[in-house]
Amino acid sequence: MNANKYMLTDQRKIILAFFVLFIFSTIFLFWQNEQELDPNKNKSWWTLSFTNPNDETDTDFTIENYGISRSFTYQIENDKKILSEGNLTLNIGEKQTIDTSLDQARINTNVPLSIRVSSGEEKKEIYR
Amino acid sequence: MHALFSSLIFLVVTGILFFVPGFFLLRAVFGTQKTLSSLETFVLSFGLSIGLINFLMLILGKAGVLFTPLSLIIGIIASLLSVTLFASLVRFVSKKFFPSKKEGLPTEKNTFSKKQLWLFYLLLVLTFAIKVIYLSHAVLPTSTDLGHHMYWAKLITETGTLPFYAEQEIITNDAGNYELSDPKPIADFIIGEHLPFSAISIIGKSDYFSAFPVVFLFLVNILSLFALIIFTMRLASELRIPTLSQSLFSPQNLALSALFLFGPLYSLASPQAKFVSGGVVGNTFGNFFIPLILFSYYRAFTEKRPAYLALGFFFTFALAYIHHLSTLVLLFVLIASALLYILFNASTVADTFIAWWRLLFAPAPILVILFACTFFFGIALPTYIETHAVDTAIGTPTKTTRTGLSYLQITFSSGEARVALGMAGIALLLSLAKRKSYAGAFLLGWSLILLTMSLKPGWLFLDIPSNRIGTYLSFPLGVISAVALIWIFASFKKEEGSPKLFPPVLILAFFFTAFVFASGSGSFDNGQTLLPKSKGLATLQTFHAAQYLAEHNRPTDIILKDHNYITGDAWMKLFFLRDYFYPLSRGFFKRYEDNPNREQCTLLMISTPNTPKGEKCFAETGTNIVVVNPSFDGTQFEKGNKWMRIYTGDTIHIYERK
Repeated sequence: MNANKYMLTDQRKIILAFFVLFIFSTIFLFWQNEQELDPNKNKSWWTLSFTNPNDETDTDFTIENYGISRSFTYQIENDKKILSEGNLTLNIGEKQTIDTSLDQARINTNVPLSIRVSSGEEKKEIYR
Repeated sequence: MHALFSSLIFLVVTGILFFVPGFFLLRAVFGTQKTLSSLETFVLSFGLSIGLINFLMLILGKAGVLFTPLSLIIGIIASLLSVTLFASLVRFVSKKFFPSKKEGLPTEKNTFSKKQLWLFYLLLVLTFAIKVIYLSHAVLPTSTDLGHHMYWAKLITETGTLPFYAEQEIITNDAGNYELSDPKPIADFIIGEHLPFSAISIIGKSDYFSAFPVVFLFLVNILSLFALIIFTMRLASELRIPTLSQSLFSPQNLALSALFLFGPLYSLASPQAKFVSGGVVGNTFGNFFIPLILFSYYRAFTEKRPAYLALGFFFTFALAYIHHLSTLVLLFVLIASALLYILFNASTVADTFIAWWRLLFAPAPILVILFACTFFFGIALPTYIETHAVDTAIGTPTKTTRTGLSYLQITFSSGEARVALGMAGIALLLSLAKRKSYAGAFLLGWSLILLTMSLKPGWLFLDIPSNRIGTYLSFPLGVISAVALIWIFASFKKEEGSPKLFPPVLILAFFFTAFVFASGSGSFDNGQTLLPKSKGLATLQTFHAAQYLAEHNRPTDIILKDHNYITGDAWMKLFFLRDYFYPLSRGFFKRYEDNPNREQCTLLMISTPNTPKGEKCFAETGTNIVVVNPSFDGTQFEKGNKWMRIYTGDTIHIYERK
């Protein structure tokens, strides 16, 4: 068996250096990507959406919170009348669906039904 | 922890898929002959593995075998065993019937001194550091091109079959109404640029939204640098000028010079890290394969070894299934190099042809040609041949963007230092007898044909965007620059015992000036390319909205999104995998202005949805959901009886048509 065959030649040292650098780079870039795509990491945002967008009569809605503020207030309005309102607390990363259970007879279908949610100074609205 | 686990899985899978098969294949072809250095084995293994994985997946796909971790691993083992057996047989036949005096010739001893080795490490660390810092801001899946490519790669992963490259489009039918057409073949994509990503994802279960696509492209990009280094090192023996210092004009110094000019300098601008972050997949692969192919042919011709010719043929064939433009560029480079060699050696042209014929008429190259022909005609044609895309690249330039670059644009795209040194190198090489060597012919052929293709494409009847050709030029200019730099340094030092040509102060002043010029130009270029800030928040919101739509998607829903103001929108299609054209997209405004024949519905449905034309587009295409950035496009959909706002975030609003 030739011992030189397995000797760490200069070129093999360069290849080894390449692998070390590439392994560290890969781990760092994967970590960086995960941090960037982590909705809770150094970001503050939240969304409001209809829970069942395919059913036009369904007014249930969902709030997903990735923001610093945790308290939310909502109002459901139709034809200049407040049909329902309430408060809720959502921790970071929490998602909550609000079952509105509205009396359909009170809704004027000729004008949009709006759901307004505010948290801190931010307000969002969806309507159908 | 999850990132660490995913990255380790990715590293293991990449090693198994893209280094191990090539390494064993090299062993099978070359046996125990020590004709390849460790660096060469390392780089060639990667190229061979890519070709092998691509061909294997094409064969499995065409045979109707679903891509699964098991089918791929069994396929790799089976193909390696059969290739090894076959190669052993070929080597046996070659030894018996085509004996070669070159058999067992030891490889050139490329021993670095301690100083050289440390300088190599330093340059390598700098190269990695600059690229990784840049990519850390670009590792998010936001780039449009990468999104397009990863759609196909994910489709292959999810379906386990080869994709049919086609997309729907909005057309006007005979009755003058708009409609979504049936999927039509598209020539923009080539299977070989997607299969490696699919293979990683299938075996490693890697998520396309993780860093893996960018990191894999980064690996290809860094290995293209190594491909240039091994090619440059091999040029030393032919380009060595006897009157210059032999100790300075060494393969090691050429390697350092190449690493300096391709590594830390200009390491971000196209075609380097910017191509990685931008997802310019085909070009990035092409830039790896072209120097590797030239390396193989160079060694085949200089050492008269048919095995290298076979290797060159295999890489060329592999590239043909990965990237059409790179293949076209390579063909021009090879033809130009061959013509220049014949021209410079006109007096011995008959001998040249006999030598080439002998090289070609050997078992290994003939077998690769037979394999290529069988594969090409019997298994799968590259998609650009099937869709006749070649016709659109050849002819008189049709647009101003295809009529060539100015010299200033070339200086900008290839880097001032590399252009200056490269031009000096070309002039020097043309004036020396070294032009007659294969090294001279390859370097001159490579650089002069790309200069012509970039500056005057009309002379060669090329109808391709000139800036795309221009990105290939930095490689030959960089290699010639690396050689010229060492030539100049070597000219300052005479061999021991000879009188000094220049006073030490002048030598130091030149070194310093050259270093400052190259470093200044290269690092300014890097500074121009660095990204200002992360797009994390906006991207996250785009993906959140896309996920919401995908969870509630009905077969009848036709979604339209905006490409101008939504970050990472090209990746939305990965959530649906319904069609390459789904969701429909309002493209860049300039595209509608530049091409009046382009369909206008995608523009009108977002920009002016309530006009009669906009209404007609909605009614006839069936579009019922629109995704926009409220800071730019919310107003036109606000309250009224036609639209419902079903989702709201900071950077995304989703509207549904009543």
